[in-house]
Amino acid sequence: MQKPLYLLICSLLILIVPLVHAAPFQQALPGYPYQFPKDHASHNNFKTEWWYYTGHLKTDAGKNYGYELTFFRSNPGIKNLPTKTNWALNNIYFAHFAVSDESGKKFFHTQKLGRGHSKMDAGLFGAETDKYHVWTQNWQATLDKDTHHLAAATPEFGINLDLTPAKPLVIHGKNGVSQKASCKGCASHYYSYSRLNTHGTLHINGKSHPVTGQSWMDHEFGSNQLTDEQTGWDWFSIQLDNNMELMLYILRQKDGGADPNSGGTLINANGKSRYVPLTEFNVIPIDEWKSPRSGGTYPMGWKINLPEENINLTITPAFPNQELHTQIPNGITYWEGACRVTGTVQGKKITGQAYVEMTGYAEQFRQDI
Amino acid sequence: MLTKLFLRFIVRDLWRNKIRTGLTLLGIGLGVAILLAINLANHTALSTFQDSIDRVSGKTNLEVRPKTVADMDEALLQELTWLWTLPGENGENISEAHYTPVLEETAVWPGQDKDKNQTHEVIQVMGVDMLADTAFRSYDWQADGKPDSFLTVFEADHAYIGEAMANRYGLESGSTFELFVNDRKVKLTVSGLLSGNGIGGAYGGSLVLMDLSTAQDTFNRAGRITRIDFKVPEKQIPTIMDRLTTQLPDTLAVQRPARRGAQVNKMLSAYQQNLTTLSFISLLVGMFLIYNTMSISVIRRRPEVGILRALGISTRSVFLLFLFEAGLLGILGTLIGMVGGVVLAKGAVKAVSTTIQALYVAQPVSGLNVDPTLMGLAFIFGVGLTIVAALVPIWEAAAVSPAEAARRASYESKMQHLSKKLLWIGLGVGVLAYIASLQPPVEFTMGDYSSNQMPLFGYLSALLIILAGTLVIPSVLQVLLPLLANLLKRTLGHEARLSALSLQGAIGRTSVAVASLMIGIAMMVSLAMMIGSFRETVVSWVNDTLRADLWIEPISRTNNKQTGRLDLSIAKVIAEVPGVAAVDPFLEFPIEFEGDRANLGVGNFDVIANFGNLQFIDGEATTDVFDRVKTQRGLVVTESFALKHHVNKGDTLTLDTPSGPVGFPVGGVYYDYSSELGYIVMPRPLYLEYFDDNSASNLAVFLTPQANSQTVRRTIFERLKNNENSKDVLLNIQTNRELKKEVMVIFDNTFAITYALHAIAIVVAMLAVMNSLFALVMESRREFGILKYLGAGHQQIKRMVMVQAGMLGLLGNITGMTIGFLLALLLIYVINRQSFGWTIQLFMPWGFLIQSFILVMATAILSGLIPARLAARIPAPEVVRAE
Repeated sequence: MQKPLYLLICSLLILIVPLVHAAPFQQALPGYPYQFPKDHASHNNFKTEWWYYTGHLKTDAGKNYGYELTFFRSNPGIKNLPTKTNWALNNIYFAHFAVSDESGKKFFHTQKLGRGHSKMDAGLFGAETDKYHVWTQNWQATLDKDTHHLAAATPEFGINLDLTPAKPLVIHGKNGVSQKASCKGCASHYYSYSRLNTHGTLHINGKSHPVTGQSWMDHEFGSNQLTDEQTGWDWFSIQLDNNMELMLYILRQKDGGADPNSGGTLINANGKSRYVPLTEFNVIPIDEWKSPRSGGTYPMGWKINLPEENINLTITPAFPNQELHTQIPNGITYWEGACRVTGTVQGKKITGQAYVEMTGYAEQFRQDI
Repeated sequence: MLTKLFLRFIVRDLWRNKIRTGLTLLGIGLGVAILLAINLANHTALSTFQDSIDRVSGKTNLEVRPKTVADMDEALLQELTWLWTLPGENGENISEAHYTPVLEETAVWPGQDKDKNQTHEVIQVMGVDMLADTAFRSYDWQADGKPDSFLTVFEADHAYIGEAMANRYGLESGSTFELFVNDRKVKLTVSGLLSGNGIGGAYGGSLVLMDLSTAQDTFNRAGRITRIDFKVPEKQIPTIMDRLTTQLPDTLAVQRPARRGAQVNKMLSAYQQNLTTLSFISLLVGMFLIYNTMSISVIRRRPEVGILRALGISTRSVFLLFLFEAGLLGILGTLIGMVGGVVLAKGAVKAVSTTIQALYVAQPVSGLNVDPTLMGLAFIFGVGLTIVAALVPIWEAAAVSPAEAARRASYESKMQHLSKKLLWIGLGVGVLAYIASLQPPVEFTMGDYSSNQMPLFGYLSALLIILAGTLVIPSVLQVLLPLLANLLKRTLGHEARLSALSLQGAIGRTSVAVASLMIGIAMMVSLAMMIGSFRETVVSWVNDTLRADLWIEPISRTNNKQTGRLDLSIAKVIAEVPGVAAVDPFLEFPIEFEGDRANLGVGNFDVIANFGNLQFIDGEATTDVFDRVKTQRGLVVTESFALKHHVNKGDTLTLDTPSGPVGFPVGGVYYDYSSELGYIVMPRPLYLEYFDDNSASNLAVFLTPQANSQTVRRTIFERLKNNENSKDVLLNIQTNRELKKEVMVIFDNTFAITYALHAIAIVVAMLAVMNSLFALVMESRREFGILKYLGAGHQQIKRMVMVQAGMLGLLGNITGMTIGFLLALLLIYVINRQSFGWTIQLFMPWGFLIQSFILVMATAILSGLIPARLAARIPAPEVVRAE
């Protein structure tokens, strides 16, 4: 699915441009013939696209760090662009980068945003269409055979990681499309690497640490946006120590209920996966946390049950303050953080790690004032 | 006590002599007003530029811009990526360095403002990366001017504009407007109104801000940028500057933005200094008026001072009394001057900005920055100089002893003895003035910038000449007055002879009067000679050099001769028009040479050699120079460039080209009066070998002998209109005659302020004439009384006064024209040459000299009318009783 992130992008675009004409863009339709590795690259016929990495890293000293590095491409759909220049605003690229120091309970985050250039292939912002390479200035993601290479750095924190899939990729949805709203064509093409073995370097506060760990990667592209009914979403990517993964999302509606298109995917140890509809799981918040910066109140900690699979999990954030604030060009605030997992699968005790994303809490709050 | 005395003795006296007091105040006021107006205008221009640079730079603390080329390839941005991974001091990764491309251009408003006034205002256009720019510059929106969506500015032909510009032209969000851009007219849509805070206040709000993509499209400069702005950690600037300088070609400058301000400052310094110096002359005349008034006031009241002293008033109190008088005059006059200065400054700003835009920087200057420091300085200068000018007469007054005061002639008899001494001192000062005029300009170093030349010794020499003239006047009068007396006796009779002798009897007062006349007239004459000579020189240069039959420039150069390009393809269309013999596409643009602004010109030397003409300073023929330039692969430079950069024929001039520094032999130095910054002119083929810029800023078209320029111009317009590629092209096509006329219009605009100063010099000179005459006649009451007692009739007395007035006018004319001639030589051969670097041929403006001679005489005689009537009314018995 990865609907939630898609919604994030779309809502960002709602903020950016109120009227977007979907017509010129290619639609995400059933029967899309995936071709790898080409489909890792950018699909500029589609309006919106992102490459999304989260992961859990451990230093030699045993300290835990979470990271998020996401590259977005978004065509704002301006109809009347200048024609002679190489700078016409066909695509805006941006990246969000965050590191969670779990023991220090410190959250680092920043973003880069810029435009593409039709001739220059390096140095600015862009994504290649024939092979996987997306970059925002010196932050980038590339693919060398099977290995994803990630690099992002700020004076305070940075990563330089190699990610190798431990399990095959999973294509979400049915017939190559992930339907995300009831309207026709409201869909996207979406796949994940739910478990990538990760090693490399983490820079934090002027020091470099060799790290190892596991990551999750999503890639999604589509051209339609969501309805006005949704106010935000909660999204979970859970990696269990028994080599299972679970991804769930709940689209929150204005009336407080969950959109019926909410759902998820359960991936077994052998790589087989199945769609989990909203009817098959419960998510119950345990506690809440009020952000001192945005004023938004977020749920904090969840009980997740899948009765049919006999899965009972407790998700606990590594620490509460993992809220991202992006200012340019139009600010969006959301929570995206590393979490610990405990619980049982088929009655057996299990632990694991997760990343949770929550949007619409701070904005909702803002609307209330 | 002193206050009472001051009121009775000084204020009442000033009030009684209303006319003279008024003239004196007017004189000081004009002097201060001119000084202030010029300095306020200069300051406004500089502070506008500085303010615009600050706003446009924003948080930029380092910039890269073209030095010897017109622009840069945007691909350069890719070579700067090392900045994001620049290791910090501890080896950690630093990605705090940011940079962003900028394209700066100018356009011209194509017609009317909202009040239907015709205008071709120069509009600054900036293309920036609108996605990233808020990190560099501050954007503040006018109340209703904030764009609904930040994306609209990325649409083609959309732009933000400054609030001031919006108000001037009645524009609002969503309005469309047109601009002349190069050789086209473009239509733009306002997508946001920037308030005067932040970037929207730059260039006085005459600013169009676009996304880089739109700017490149609008100016047809895809792939080109004119600046890269950097925002880097302050402590890393030296490292980053070093690395950029090493990495980037020498054609680009790596510098802090503040440096641009210093460069503009320096570029304008000669022009502004010149104006300031000229404005000081008015003040100098004002000072002389004060000296004149105070001297006469003191001489007139010697008996009264004597009585005061006899009554026990101390020397110090007398000194203070007169000091207060000078102070009062100084303060009142200066205050009048300050009000007048602010009023005049508005006009001066306009004149200064016209010249600056035509000759130096294509940036608008508007508004008036009434700088409190300058106002304060004007006050201190006005009052201070008034007191300084009055000091000698005041000392004179304080030195009066009770006994001495009774003898009226004491002062004059002292003067008789003094005049010989003064003559020798005067001659000595004259020699010093000559020596000073031979000195080279003084070089100043402004910080780490290259040196600046100032003709300080020239200015000193001017002051010395005036001083020398003043000192020798008593002796000159001693010689001239008896001659005049004899001459007048024969022509106008005994009254006239008496007048001359009476002037000689009062040689001290007469000298002061003549000296102030002399300074006024000298200023008037020297300016007239300098401007006249310059103008004549330019006229003859224009006639010799501007040979093109038609001169074609893009419409955007209408009001701005610095930027604007032509589509070179139209040269081909024009070359095929019947009657056209040759077309020389000329390219010129500002460059930086050795840290100074200069201009690079690129022309077709074959065409110039065959059809045109240049005057080389050593008299060598154009064809010979060009043959040599061709074989030696050299270039030519203008005289002003040669003088500024100490370049001579045969030297090698090193230019930074995209392929590195290249030495070019200087084939010749030619006269040129179009830019004091100077030109380096290269043949186009040679230029193209090193520079990748085959464009033109104007076309010189030469016709066959039979062709009619009007007909050819019409045909050119028709052909361009019928050609698909050029049907929208907008050009100014001037015939040879129109071009020459325009050159002279630009010249006259440049000298508009000088003309105004000149006019004021004439007024001040006339004031001096009137003031001196009033004083003299009033002081001659005694003589007239005696004459009347002896039986002189009203008419005779009147005639005597008129003759005296005429004689003063004549003496002022003789001395003033002599000193004026010397000052003109100094201005032409020393000061102008050292400031601007051009040779001016001396032309005598006979017409003006005759006119001014008559004007001075007429003013003098007319000014004699009132005193004459007064003198005639002097009751004889009263005066004689006093004797």
